[in-house]
Amino acid sequence: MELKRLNKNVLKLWYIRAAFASLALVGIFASAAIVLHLSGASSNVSLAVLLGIGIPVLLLLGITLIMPALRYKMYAWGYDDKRIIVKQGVIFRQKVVIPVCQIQDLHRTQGPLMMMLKLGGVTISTAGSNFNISTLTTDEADRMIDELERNLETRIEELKNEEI
Amino acid sequence: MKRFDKGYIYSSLLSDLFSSFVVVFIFLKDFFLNEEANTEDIVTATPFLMIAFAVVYLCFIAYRILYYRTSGYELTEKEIKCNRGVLLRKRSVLDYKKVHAINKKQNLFHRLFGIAILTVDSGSTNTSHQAEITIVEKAKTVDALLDELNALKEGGVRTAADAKEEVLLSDKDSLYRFTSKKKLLYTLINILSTAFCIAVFGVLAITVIGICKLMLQLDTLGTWGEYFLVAVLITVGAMLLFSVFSFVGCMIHSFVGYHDFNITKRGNDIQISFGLLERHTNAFSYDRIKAVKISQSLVQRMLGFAVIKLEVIGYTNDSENNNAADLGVLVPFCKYDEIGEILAKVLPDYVPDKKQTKSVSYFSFVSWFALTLGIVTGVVMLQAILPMLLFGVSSSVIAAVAAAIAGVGAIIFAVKALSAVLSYQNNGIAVNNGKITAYYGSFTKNVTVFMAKNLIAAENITTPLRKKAGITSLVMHLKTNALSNEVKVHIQKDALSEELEQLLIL
Repeated sequence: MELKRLNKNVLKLWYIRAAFASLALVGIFASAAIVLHLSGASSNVSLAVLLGIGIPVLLLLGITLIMPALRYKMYAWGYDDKRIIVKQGVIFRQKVVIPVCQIQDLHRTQGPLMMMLKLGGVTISTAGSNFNISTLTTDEADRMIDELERNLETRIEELKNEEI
Repeated sequence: MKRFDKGYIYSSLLSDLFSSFVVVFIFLKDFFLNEEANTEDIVTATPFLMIAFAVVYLCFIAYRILYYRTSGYELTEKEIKCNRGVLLRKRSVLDYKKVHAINKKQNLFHRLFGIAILTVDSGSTNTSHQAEITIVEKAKTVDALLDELNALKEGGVRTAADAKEEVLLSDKDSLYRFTSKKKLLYTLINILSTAFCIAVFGVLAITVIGICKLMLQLDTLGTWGEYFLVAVLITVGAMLLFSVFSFVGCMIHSFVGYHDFNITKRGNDIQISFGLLERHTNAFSYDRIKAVKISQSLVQRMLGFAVIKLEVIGYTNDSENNNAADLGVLVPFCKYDEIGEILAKVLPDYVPDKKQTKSVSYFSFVSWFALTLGIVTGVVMLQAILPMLLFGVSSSVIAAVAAAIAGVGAIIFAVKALSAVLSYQNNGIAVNNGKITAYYGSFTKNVTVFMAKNLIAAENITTPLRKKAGITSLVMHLKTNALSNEVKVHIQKDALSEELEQLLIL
């Protein structure tokens, strides 16, 4: 089965989210700096506190900004009439195989940002776990849900006939 | 629709009254029993408190009566129906064929009024924390209903003759007995586990504080002899204190909670009953079992004992306790060597097979942890030392702090390294005739046995380096609605993931 890559808009979405997270991190650092300035803390205390907050903030900021591109590069998904395959993960690479006949429900999810970029997520519920295909274009998500629904019905009929 | 037994109102009100008295006692004991309490204040406040109590209790009475009047159940030809709730009313309809587990519960208040609660669960994901059908009836009626529903869920259609037949289940042919001797042994092992944990913690604390004393030359801790004497006495005292708590808790748990523990098997049905103050009777079909899990804590492992749990959707789900959605106990305590024999009698298809594979590398269990721990320890050390340098703290204190941080890091790494040794020994898998036996865990060793037909998804996790070395970790998703629907077997040969994918029913 040939696996597909995610749409370029997904990368945009992840970068927008990363930007919000980065703003929050910078905000934490800036707030600490303002509080120290207003409280008239000595330069040594200020430096110590800012180093204390700054080092983890800098590390997290780096990770937040690098991750979307790496995640995007590693993500692949695909399905046929019998199975769905999702590959993801930057350091720990994960591959999940979900049989179509085990699907119980299919859900499409969309937040405001996703709506703006015409994207949607698909959640596949089975009798035990839920699996997310994090972000697809709305067309891809709709097509996937329709096709999986059809494949599921056909597969259940086939399995029933095999049992008989 | 038939209403619940009136005993529901009386038992609930008695239980409410008891709980209310306990709450009032906890909150007002200081006000009434304080030596400095003013008698006049007590006299003035008492009527108001009594009125407040009466008003609250009247609300309880109104709620219980309304609940009784709006609730009921009905057994039709093909399904069981149930209405319940006052403000949020719920109507449940459950096809007999979809019944997963039937549980009977009877606490002390229920017994006083001769009633019992029957819960029927379909195992649906949406109701994983709550049984779909709840019936409150006379205990004998509940027994009869339990028996009748057991017959109906096997595909039988209810007939008048079936309805009249009232077969009460017998406990004479129990397949396992949790005897007093086993209960005492169970208690002893739990005490040993508690004492062992406290001792390990004590040794670690004595070492870390000792290093600090050495580096900082803390005279407040006395001479080395005094320090060790006090530290050992405190550790032994804590071991004794927690052992007493553990003893009381385990005695109550085993002698009261698991009082008269019975497993009975009749045809395709398995029934497990236990409890003194609250008696539980849980019944389910053999084919509803999704997995069997055998667990051994470190101490249990050293002494050769184990616990066997069952994954049956709906078995342990308690309508009043959302946190109770856990694995059900099949055998609370047995010798590890006896497991094969017990399972062969109760669940012959779930006898665990011997490991066919083992972990292929020890280093992979610790590599990422060591790297992450190294980075975290480095950042913490940097954050601690840089400010001290800025404030001109003496070099001996800086060295002590650095040593303490490095020491804590080393202890955490040592614990992980030990856990990795156990994981390396434990992890493995066996596949035999559509049955999968997964061995995993570190300090607690777990063995989960399940059928390939209940495997709903296969996952493998690897890193680029591990992929080159042909190493992967397997995650098997099981067909259950509990939190335990994943079984992870670490650091196995890459080829296994393909074998596992082939076991999936595509």
